[in-house]
Amino acid sequence: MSENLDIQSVIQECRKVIAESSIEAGIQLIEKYAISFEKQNKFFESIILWQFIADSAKNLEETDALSYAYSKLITRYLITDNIEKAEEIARRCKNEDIHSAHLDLALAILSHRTSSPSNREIAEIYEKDIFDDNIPVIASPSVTFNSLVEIKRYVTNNLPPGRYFVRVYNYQLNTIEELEVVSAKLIEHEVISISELVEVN
Amino acid sequence: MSDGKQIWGTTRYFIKIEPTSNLFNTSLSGTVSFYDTRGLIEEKTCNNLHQLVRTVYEFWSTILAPHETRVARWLEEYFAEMGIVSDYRLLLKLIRSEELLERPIEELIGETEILSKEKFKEALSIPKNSDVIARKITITKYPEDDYGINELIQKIIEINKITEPKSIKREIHYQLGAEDIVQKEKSDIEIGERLGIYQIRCKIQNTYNESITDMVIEETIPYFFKISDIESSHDYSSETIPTEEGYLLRIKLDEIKSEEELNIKCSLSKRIVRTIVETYNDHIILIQTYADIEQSGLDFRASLQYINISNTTINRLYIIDEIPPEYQILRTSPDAIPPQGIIEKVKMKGSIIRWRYKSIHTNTTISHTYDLDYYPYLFKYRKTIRTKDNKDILKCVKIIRPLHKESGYKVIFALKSLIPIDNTVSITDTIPSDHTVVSSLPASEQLLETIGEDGNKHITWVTKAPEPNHQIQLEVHITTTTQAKFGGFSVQIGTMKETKVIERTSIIQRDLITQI
Repeated sequence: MSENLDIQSVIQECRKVIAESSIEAGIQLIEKYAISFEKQNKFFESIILWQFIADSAKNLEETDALSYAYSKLITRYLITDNIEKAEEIARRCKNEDIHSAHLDLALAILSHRTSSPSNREIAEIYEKDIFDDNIPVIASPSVTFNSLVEIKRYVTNNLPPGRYFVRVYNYQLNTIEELEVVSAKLIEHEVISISELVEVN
Repeated sequence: MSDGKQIWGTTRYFIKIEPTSNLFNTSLSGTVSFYDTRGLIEEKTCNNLHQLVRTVYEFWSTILAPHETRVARWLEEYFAEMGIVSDYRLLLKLIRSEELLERPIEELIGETEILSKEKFKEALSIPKNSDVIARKITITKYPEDDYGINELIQKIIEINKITEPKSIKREIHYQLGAEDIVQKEKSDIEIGERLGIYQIRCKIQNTYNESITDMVIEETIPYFFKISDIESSHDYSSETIPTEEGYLLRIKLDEIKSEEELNIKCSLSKRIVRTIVETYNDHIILIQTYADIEQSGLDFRASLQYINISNTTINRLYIIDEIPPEYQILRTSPDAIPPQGIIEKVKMKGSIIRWRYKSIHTNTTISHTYDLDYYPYLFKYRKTIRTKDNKDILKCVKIIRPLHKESGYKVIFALKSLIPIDNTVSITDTIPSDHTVVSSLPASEQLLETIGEDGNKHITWVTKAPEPNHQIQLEVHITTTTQAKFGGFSVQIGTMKETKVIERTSIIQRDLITQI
């Protein structure tokens, strides 16, 4: 029996399961076969199976199953370095407004692999002073960064050791990202704090 | 680049696990972060070991073909690198189980019976004003594996856990002429003058035109605390009586004259909370008690003893000692070495010493001694000054940090003006008479030292108020062989003096601080 026939028979079996039971039962079946294909490094076969699930889920208007199949397709295209196809699936997800935790993670990985350089800019850097007030730190606004790690590195290398709170503008996602950068060595302490508001005459 | 562990078979992806504790069990929680060479991709907080390993597996399977055994081996290796002894079989089992391993633990727990505490009190050498609570809990069936039994015991401890109260109940009885008066109130357990010391204050102003007589103040002190000192403005006698909720501190005073003010300050220190679990064939005996921590030279020591007073051999014995967070463990006797003893360090919380024994025969005695020291601490006192027309004008802060290389501590005072202030500002603080100011920086700032009527030293920093939103600070180096005293300071701006406290909050918690 050739591999192509194997794929065909799996699809036939799955079609029957979906018709007689449910799309979830079909996914369970495909998952089992896809894992065995992938263990033999046969990702192309796995992609065909997940594409079949995606088509079936779409026909049945099963969005949960569709999002799961899309997430599987994106990560499988990433494993096979087929970024174009992965991006095509990602566009479909966006157009069809499909979300799930697994799919969002797959999209985040894709975004990391495809993000263009210099897509982030430091919006603000704050430091807490002795009074626990936020004190802005002057940072070069013209410097752009590829990743949050680069920003962490920039803050660590260019500012005195301390604990900084950084707000970063992400041009690609059009969002504000926040991160805490600790460049000083911090040690756990038992901190006893008393705060008073007093009136004077 | 992350400092996580590279996923086997890739050069581009990393996973970082930050567990909240060093104790490997099914309730181990933590954060799992997923990185590629460009940076953080995803981060997830996990509430138990199942979520933690499944998250790692999920991250892994998005970039590589799923391979449960490889993920379990990778996790085992990663835990070992962190100094945590894990269990490959349990990791694999959790990875393979999509749903949380549902153990119907509650169904295994049968009836609970409260046992008489007297025999335990005697056998366990319970100190004065301490308590012991013993329960017999029927177990319908024990889980088959060690982790299951641990989960069951942990569940029983959680169900029966006693929460440390934040306040105490107080009843005041007194005689006013021929009338008997009773007042009931609650009093907060406040931060004390030193690390590890808490206090409850009782202030009574006699506003009547005649004396108050035969006063009795009853305060229910939770067993979590030991009374270390009582200070009173009037002569008193006291006694303690054990009750279910705590031990009753009864203070008797003869007379408070008209317009006199009674001030009583009761200092408390925390105890070690000990939980003992004895397992038998069809039941568990759960014993909860408390142990005092005593000063021992410059450090602290706690000695605890256990004895099997039952007529039968205990299959498994677990002893769990919760050390108050203000202490760190210097050493234990015997040494806490896994698997019998383990010092569990819970991130941002404190330490728990866990002991595990098998087949403990009747009358077997097990002793433990813990040498403790203060946990590194920082004391922070912030004051915001407000005028009568509700305008905040000045912020002041005082920070105490103990010195590590020499005896003594450093006090940092800082000021920040919120509006232009033309006057001078003076900050007055009090230090014990045996504490000596060695230096202050900057030296150009004026620091005056006087001796007060109470024998304590008063140090006063007189300075020009800084420009608005600017700050100035003074660092004072104090040498002593005793602990720094926690307390506030008074502020005077020109002729303006503090009149009242509008708001006061206090909190003790673990935080991450730079080392000095």
